[in-house]
Formats: sequence, C-alpha cells, structure tokens
Amino acid sequence: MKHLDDVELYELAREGRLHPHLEVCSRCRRHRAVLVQVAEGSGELAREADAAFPPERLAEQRARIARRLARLGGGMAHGVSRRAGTTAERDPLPDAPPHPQAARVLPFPARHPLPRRQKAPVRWAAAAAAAGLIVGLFAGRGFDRRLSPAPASEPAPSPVLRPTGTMADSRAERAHPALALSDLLAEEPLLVEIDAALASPRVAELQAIDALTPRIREP
Amino acid sequence: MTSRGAVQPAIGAPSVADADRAAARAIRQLRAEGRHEAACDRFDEIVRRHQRRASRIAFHYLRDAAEADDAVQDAFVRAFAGFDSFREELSFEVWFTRILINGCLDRLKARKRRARWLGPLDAGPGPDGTTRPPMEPVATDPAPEARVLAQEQRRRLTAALARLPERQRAVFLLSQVEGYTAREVAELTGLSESTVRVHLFRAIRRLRALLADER
Repeated sequence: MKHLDDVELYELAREGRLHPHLEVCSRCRRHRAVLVQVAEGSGELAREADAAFPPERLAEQRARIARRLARLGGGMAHGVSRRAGTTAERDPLPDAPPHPQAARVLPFPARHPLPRRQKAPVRWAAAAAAAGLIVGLFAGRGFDRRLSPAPASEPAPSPVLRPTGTMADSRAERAHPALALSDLLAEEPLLVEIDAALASPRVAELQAIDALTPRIREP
Repeated sequence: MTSRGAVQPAIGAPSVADADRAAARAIRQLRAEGRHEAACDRFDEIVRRHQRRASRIAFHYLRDAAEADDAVQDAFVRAFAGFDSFREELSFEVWFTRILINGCLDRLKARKRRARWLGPLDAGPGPDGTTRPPMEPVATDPAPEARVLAQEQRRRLTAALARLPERQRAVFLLSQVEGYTAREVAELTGLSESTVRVHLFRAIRRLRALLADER
C-alpha cells in the first residue's frame, strides 16, 4: 500500500480535506493528525507576528526610518552610502560630525628615501619564532584583560583556549558580571576577529611556537 | 509576486509591483536632482506598503519584536541607500526581502557569537533563536482556554522550528507561514526551486517527527 507523503498530508491538514487512503491507513491518519498541529501552529505564528506589530508600532517604525534617512541625506550628498543602515548610524556620538565622511589614508611621501640595503641572509625561522613568542605573550595578556573587566580583587574569569583552537564551554566554566549593551556592541568586532583567527589555517612552522605560548587558564 | 500583508491597492489601481517600480524610478530621479527630502517622502510610500510583511518576516527569524523592529529599519535604510543597485525588472519586494533576510541572518550570527563567547544575556533571545514570549496585547476574548491552547501550539511549533536546519526553517516560514510560492521562496533565498521543495519536504517531515515525539 502506497502511503501519502508528508507534504501531501500537510496539504490535506492545512486545507482540512480528507483522502480515501486515510480511511484504510492508521499510519497516515496519525501523521495527518500531527501535521494538523503544524498547520494550526503556523497560523498562530502568523497571528503572533501580526500582534507584535500593531499600527502604533508600525507608525513609530516609519517615523524612525524617516529620521534615519533624513540624517543620511547629508552623508549621501558627500557620497557616503555604504555604511547606511547600521545600528551605529542610529545613535551618533554627541561630538561626531553631523555628516561623517569616509576617511581616506593618504600615503605620505618620504623626502629622503632610505638607501636600499643588501638583503641579509634570511633567518626567517628564528625571526618568526621570536615574533610569535612575543605576540603570543602580549596577545594573551591583552585578551585576558578585554574579557575580564572584573576588579583586581576577583580572579579574572576567561575562556580556555585549547591548542586545537576550540573553545571550552564558557557557560559552564565562567561566571562573569552582566555586560551592558554598549559593552557588548563594543565587543562585536573583537568577537568577529577571534572567530576569524580560530578559523584561519595554521602555519606549520609556527605550530611549535604556538605550543610554547602560555595559555590563558582559569584558576 | 503577489503581496501578503502589504497595503492592498484600490481596485483598478496599479499592482503593488508596478507601484513599487514607479516609486523607484521617481526616487532615483529625485536623488539625481539632489532632492533628498522629496526622495525620502516618496520612499515612505514604499515603507508603508511593505513594513508589515517585513516586520513579520523579521519576527519569524529573530523571535524578538524589538530586534525585528531594528532589523526592518536597517533593511529599509540600506535599501534606500543602495537604490542605485536595484534593477527595475526585478520585484522590489524580492530585492528588499533579501536585504532584510540577510540582515536577520547577520543578527542571528552575532547573537550566537555573543552567546558563545560571553555567555547568555540576562535579557534577549537565546543562541538557538528561542526567546521569552513577546509582549502580547491584553486578552479580551471570552475564551481564555482557546488562547492558552493557541499559545501552547505556538510554543511547541516554535521549539520544533528552532531545531530545524536554518534553510529548512527559512523555507518553511516563508512558504507556510508567509504564504510565498516555491518560486518566490527560491528568489528570496537564492536557492533553486527544486531545492526549495526538497527543503520544504524535509522540514515538514522533521516537524512531524519532532511533534509526534512530544505527544
């Protein structure tokens, strides 16, 4: 006996229709009964979403959009349009210019170019090892300080970074004070960088240095 | 594409898609003339046509009315700023909804990132998208039992939806809750129509299995 598939049963459930097969197949009847819940739940989701945005809220939303577009006006007149629509645009700093312009880095020409030196024999391995050790030491301290704003009297909670680059379960192992929304927003670029760093491929030559670099451990 | 939840035009009036194209042309012209305020006023009619549906879609993704509100605002501002990239042969609704969905997905990623590195917040949605129930208007209906039942149905389906892979959840919400056809969902998500159907089939099957397990 060929059963009705879930999409067919869902269509029947949603439209409140029956099918001759359902009279003879308890399995499909059971499945249809569950899918009736899915269909009814979907209707409820749509109603819930509508209820969350009554006319007053939509009117306020339109007003906010209009204000943001008005602020955008001067910036767009100067060719700034790419950064539009970010949350930062909504709450400009009090001392920020009303129409921020894109900044450009201009290369500064050197008046007295340094004479070209002959290349010394490349000892990149030793230089990379020393640089990796120093960067690891300072980055470790800086990372700890950023994620642990607690006063010195309390031990600074911090995540555990394993050599494989995975992150220990921070919820189970850390207790940290609640962060203000502004702190979280400020952390976002750092979090993006951390994610990117963990996802980036490891250089084989530096893995030995990586193993020597002190890790941030929880007390 | 037909509009769901958009302000319905009067009988005999041009379709929503035609009205959007006409407004887009006018806005481009006004901006080219440096008449920013007039362009914003014209853009407001587009906002009025699409904000309700956009707010619903953002709410389905983010499960938080305040954040959905922000996402919708961001999307409209981005759409206005990026109007030069809008091609009139496409539907504004499709173009704009893609901007909105991408913004919602970015917010979800940011939310997961914060939860992963900083732990759960005291307020706000969790990393899996589920959240405290949104503020609901005071009930005045005479059947509180029906309301409780409806809330329970919503809660169970929301919990089951949160366990679906992201694409299956998106396809299900756009097609079964918002009423888009498979072709429209394909345009919105960048998937092929056949892939949309596959995702929908898997989503329904998975939801059935999850809800059957709960019974």
